[in-house]
Amino acid sequence: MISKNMMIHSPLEQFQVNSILSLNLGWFDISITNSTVAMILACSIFLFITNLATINSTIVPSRWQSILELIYEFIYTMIQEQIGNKGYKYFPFIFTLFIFIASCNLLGMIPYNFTATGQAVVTFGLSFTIFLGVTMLGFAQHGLHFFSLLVPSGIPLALAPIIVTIEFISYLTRAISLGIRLLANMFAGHTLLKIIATFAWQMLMAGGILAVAGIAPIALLFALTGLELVIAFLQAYVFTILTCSYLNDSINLH
Amino acid sequence: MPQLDPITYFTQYFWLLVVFFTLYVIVATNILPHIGRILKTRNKLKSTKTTLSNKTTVETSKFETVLMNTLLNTKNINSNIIENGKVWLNDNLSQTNKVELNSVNEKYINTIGSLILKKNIK
Repeated sequence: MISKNMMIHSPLEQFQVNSILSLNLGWFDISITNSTVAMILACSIFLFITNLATINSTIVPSRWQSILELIYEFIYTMIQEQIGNKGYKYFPFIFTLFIFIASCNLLGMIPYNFTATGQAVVTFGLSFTIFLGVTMLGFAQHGLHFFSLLVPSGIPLALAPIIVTIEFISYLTRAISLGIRLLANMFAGHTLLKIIATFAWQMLMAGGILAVAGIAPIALLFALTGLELVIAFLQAYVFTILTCSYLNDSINLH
Repeated sequence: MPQLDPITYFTQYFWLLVVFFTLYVIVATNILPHIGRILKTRNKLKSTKTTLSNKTTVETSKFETVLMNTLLNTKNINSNIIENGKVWLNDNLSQTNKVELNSVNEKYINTIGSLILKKNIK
């Protein structure tokens, strides 16, 4: 009989980053880890599918091609609604962002795979980089006039110091909230799945009436997997649409 | 939480940037222009098709009116010809009876009259 403890690990173990190939750049460690492999794999799968879909692209689209065109038009209308005509310059960036997050999230849903977007460094790296970029874009476009973003129109002068402080803090927390939203969703979802799966496995191993009752957590696991698949897409969408709205603030100032 | 282990921070961020920019370059130079081209071509084709079909319907309706007019004219001409022909035939018939066949008719009547007289005299 298989040991009962074989599958019981900490539910957080799936987020452990292991070095696969040690590399150094000067004094810096740039080892290839399982997180790197997951990112490269996710992007490669997307590129492979895209290649298949567009290599014989036709006027009447094939199935994969129509999915790609759907994503294209989805991002296009998103930019049109959020930013307007000045935003089309950033279309490739927004598209890449959506694709990157969505494929990393979806790859993580395959059992035994690593979720790159469940890593704090990856999500915060993305969100802080976007925050810095958007802020620099704002200053480049409007100069010091960019500070008027912190002053909503039509406030009494007496309230101005408080409002500006609040707006400044809320502007700074954008960077954290953007990253932590994606991280928390991925982290919580995968931990929950792991806990339920361990629970179901233990019930099945217990035998007798408990093994029959083990159907219930398996059904729950099945339902939660569906939910997580939806969340994988939804979080990619939320991340991109918030990036669009921050870009809009920088380009159009409210 | 294994996410908070700072040893992996630099390598993960480095590879995130590398992968993301590679993907960005490929998407921006290859994939998006490809999809955009197809979408543009399709929209153009759609619009030309609709204008073409609109043109065709206009031409068809024009052709139909011309056809109907022609048919009506032909019908009128034909009925006129028939009417005129009837009148001409009747006129000519009475004319011929009165003028060219006058002597023959008179002879015929005379012959009939003389035949009846001969019978009665006997």
